[in-house]
Amino acid sequence: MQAIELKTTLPDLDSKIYKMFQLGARLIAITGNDLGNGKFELIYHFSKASEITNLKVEIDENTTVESVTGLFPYAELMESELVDYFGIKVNGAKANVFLEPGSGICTPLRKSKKTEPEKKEEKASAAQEKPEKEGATSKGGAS
Amino acid sequence: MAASTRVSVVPLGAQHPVLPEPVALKLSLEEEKVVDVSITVGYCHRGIEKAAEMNDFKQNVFLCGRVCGICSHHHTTSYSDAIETMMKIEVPERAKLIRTIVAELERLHSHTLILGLTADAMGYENLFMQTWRDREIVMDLFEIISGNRVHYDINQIGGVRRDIGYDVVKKIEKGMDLLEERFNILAKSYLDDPTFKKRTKGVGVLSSAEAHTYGVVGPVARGSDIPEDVRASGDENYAAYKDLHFTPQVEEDGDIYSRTKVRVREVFQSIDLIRQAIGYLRDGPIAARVQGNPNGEAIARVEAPRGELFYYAKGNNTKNLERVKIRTPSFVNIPALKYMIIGEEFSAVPVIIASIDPCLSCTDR
Amino acid sequence: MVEMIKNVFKNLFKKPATLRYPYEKRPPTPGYRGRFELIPTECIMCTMCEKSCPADAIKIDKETKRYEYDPLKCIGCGYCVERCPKDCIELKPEYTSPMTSHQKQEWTITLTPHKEAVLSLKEYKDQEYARRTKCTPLVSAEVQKSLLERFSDRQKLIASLGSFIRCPEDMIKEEDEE
Repeated sequence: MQAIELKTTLPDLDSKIYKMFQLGARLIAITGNDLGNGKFELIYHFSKASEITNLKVEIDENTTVESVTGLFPYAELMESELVDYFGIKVNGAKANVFLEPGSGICTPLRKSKKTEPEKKEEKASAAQEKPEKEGATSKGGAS
Repeated sequence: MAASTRVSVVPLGAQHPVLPEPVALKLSLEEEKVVDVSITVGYCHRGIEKAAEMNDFKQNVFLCGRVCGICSHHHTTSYSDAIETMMKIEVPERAKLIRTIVAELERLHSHTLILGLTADAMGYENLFMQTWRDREIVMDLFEIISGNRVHYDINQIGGVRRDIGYDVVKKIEKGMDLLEERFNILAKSYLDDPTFKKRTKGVGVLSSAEAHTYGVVGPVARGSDIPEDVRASGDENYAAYKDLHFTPQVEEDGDIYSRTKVRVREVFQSIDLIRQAIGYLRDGPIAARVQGNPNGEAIARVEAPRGELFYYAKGNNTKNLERVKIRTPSFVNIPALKYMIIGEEFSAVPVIIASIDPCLSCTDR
Repeated sequence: MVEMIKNVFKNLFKKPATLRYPYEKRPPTPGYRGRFELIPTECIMCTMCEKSCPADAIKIDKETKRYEYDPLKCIGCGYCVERCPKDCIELKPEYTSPMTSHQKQEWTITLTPHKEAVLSLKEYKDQEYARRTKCTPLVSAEVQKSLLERFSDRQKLIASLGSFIRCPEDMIKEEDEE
């Protein structure tokens, strides 16, 4: 079947979703797409009286998206899927529902480089070492 | 003086004899009444959406049919529908009618399965065995039509793979007469039995406003006074439903008894739809020619036995698809289980789980 | 209550609803997608079956002319049967027997024209039939030994197992010789 296509930008996203909620539409699914070059696309599919509307928005790798569970409480699992498969940051979503941490598989549906959990541990330990070094130099500077 | 109450946590763990598939529940009990539930899914994840990007778009039909064993034909129908919309292929009439007949037979198979499991969850083993014996009529018909009892693989892009001859049509008609006669006797045990009513009326209630807030689909929504059914939505390309007479079955109360009544009525409705579809069969081709590669985006949705099944596909002019997204009906029905269990007694929990028809292989994919 | 008494009397004189396997077996349905079989004299090594398998169960090596099939990966969809241009693949309406170790089936393809074929089709089929009806033990050696300890008499053992095992006497003789 044919769907009604709507495109929007990230600042207008909240108001458009609120309008769909006021019309009484039902959220079917949230799809994530990897467009390459660090850009992602989110599509919100709504259903109202035998018609389907696709609401598309383009985001960057580092943007944090607001959760829609305030209006649609059943979107929790859908947002956990986005976090597990793509690594998109969503406010308040639970991670590691479908994939096990430490199994070596991380964000499998991304096309570009995959961030492995070992590299994240190295980054965390490197971040811990840096304030220690700064503390030591400041102590040396003070003394 | 207020009596102090203690809360004990009981796991209805990942493996349990009443569950058809693994899901982990943690129930917080206060003297036999449930006060809190936490649900964990993810025990059956197999990475199907990633595997669908490594295959040909024609080989994906077999992969999508193995997401679930009970609603396998609806997955392949929905996937083929999405690709046919994307590539603008016209499916011939006879193929659409064969897809409808197999889909309604699958609905019979699935509803008799879950009605039997509901009876088994409350200890009524005799009714469970008799319902599953009558389900064998439908499984034998599938072996004759498609070559296998589950995972029929009868769809391909552009039509169907096998034709049903005149002798097979006669066997389907005889099977439907036999099933209707036996189910008339079984329906009395499901709907008129006083013990069954006592355990199911007023238990596991989901009111109409709650059903709208939590977005449930399928017989769970139709048992709570929401008349939504994809078969009645007027979609021109969805098999042959535009030619058949059909109204959704709706009940008001929202408890386990209403959902069981919706499913029993849908069994009789499916037998009627199969007889109508057989009357419309005429000679003709069973598949259209497929040329080229898929390009663009498309969506499709069908009415699986458990609710609304939704597919989204995106192609980029090569043999492999770029993205396949599947949203199954149990994905929204299982989180709504929390609001049906809170406030009920501990012994009613297995029957409530069996009444929403949970399919965990569909949820986790 | 009255209905229940009527049902009880009816069920006393009815046959059971199940088949008494292994004494009564269910006849196979034609068109059932069961065991994979290849006719190597018809194969022309076009590799259409390898490209069309969704589960990667077929592997073809064109230099050494080997055709390899993995029965544990096969999903029984029948797509290779449709795509083979010479109709050399068949899915027979029989059940696949269980395995105790992961064994793949192999064939060597000789691409000679039919007039000078090494074996004619009838001779090949007779040879395949003789190879398949030779003793393929369905029960492992340890289970056989433990069954023999329970039934001291060989005749009683064979009579109790029925048609489960084909010629158990020969297999037991081979074990004794080893």
